[in-house]
Amino acid sequence: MTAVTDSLRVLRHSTAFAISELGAVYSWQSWIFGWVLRVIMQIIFFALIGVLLDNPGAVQFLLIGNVALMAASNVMMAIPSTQWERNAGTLPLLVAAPSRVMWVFLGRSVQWFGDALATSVIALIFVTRIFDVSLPVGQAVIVIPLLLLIIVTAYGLATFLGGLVLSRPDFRNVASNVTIGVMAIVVGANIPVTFLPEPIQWFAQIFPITHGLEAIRSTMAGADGGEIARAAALCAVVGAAWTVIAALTFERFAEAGRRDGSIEFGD
Amino acid sequence: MRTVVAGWRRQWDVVTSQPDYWMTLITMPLLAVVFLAIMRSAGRDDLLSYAVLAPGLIGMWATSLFISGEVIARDRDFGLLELTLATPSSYAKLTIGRIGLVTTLSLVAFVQSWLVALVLFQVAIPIPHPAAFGIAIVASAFAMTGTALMMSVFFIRSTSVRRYQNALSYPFYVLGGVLVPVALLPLWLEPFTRVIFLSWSSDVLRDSLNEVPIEHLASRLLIIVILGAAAFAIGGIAVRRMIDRIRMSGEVGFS
Repeated sequence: MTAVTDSLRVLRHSTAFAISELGAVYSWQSWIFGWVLRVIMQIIFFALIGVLLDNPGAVQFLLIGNVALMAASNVMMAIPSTQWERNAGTLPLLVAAPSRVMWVFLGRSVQWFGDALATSVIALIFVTRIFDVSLPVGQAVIVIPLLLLIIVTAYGLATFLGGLVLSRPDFRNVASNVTIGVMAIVVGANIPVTFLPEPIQWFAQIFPITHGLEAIRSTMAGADGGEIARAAALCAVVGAAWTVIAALTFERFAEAGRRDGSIEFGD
Repeated sequence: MRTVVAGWRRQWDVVTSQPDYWMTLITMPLLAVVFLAIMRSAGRDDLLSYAVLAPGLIGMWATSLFISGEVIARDRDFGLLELTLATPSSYAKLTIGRIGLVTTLSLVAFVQSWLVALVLFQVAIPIPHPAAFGIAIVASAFAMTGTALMMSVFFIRSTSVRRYQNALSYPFYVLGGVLVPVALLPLWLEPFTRVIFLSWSSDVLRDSLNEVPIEHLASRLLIIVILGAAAFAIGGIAVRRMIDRIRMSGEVGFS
């Protein structure tokens, strides 16, 4: 019981740290005029491709797909922010501490949850109005929790990748950007998954957002609740699997570092 | 000229030392796949040339602004600005050389994008007006270098300004018409689009991939060069003023 309480305490502290770190990254002005504006313009950029195609269906497809993609992409910031622990020189201290490092790392990047949800919901409301895409309140109350699901499940994948590049600090931004780029191709945000070659369709299934986005598209198409729930459940299961793999990766990293002394105090 | 070449060489050493500097060249082929697949899945092969050009333009803009924009700020962070100012060479020329190298390297994104279309989509996008295309690329690279020089001075003013760097990407890709021509944007946005050289560059480059004769080519190319020259002038004056100011006020320090 004490072990559980201790783990929860570590998780709580790392979460509190994460939230305070967000304030150091953005002021509210730079968040609105730097980040939120950029996210809105990115979604407008992709929705405009639907205008170029002269196809209202494509406008909605690209708009919704990119709102979801931005939600998941935002959380990929957890890849570099995991690395910041190494840059700060605190990693060896965490590895030396008696608590498991996975609790620290699973909590230390949750600041991106609120950021991702707020930006994607603002963009969703704003850009659907600009392009006259219908989003009745009845659908919005389902779509917004589904966006949160996409964010939380993307976090599992992001922390796993963050753990993977802990030993290769130079590649933290490359890993994050390549993952976002690959998601933009395969998860059904810009191109229907069924259009892709079959092996890539299978590959797309490992991304939680593929299933979460399917749930959102089903909601907007007025599909029955069972179909939406099935896709959402699959999203949750895939996300949970990544979280477990991420936790194991951190433990393995710490174990290897303790054994061969490869974790140094900063770069 | 020796100073400009020295800037090129210095920047080459910088960009080859960090994977982050190659980011655009790694991510642009992925973006090319996205754009090409959107057009192909919509059955609009007639727009594949648009999809090939866009990652090239985005690659040039993003690389130049994000790497070149940081040149002076990083020099200051690393304490190199002070050492460079103590030398007899012109700091502006050195910076132009460094930014010029980054802009030149960023043009690789056009080639990558064309190759993605060829290899993955089996489409060789023809260039019916190669001379116009080539001149437009050179004019755009010139305007891009000037714009990046201007921004590099802007970024040094304070670290908080650098937090707004993100806002320099997609707003400019929309207003610069890199994929969707600005003619499809609401009319009231037109004055904003026309002061951005990217909007002229993307229109001319798209036209050079079309069989139809290009209208008013010379005047459109001239506008790109004029906008670039204006950016160079503003950037050059700003660099000189910044250096004069910190020399006079003694703000130069090794911090």
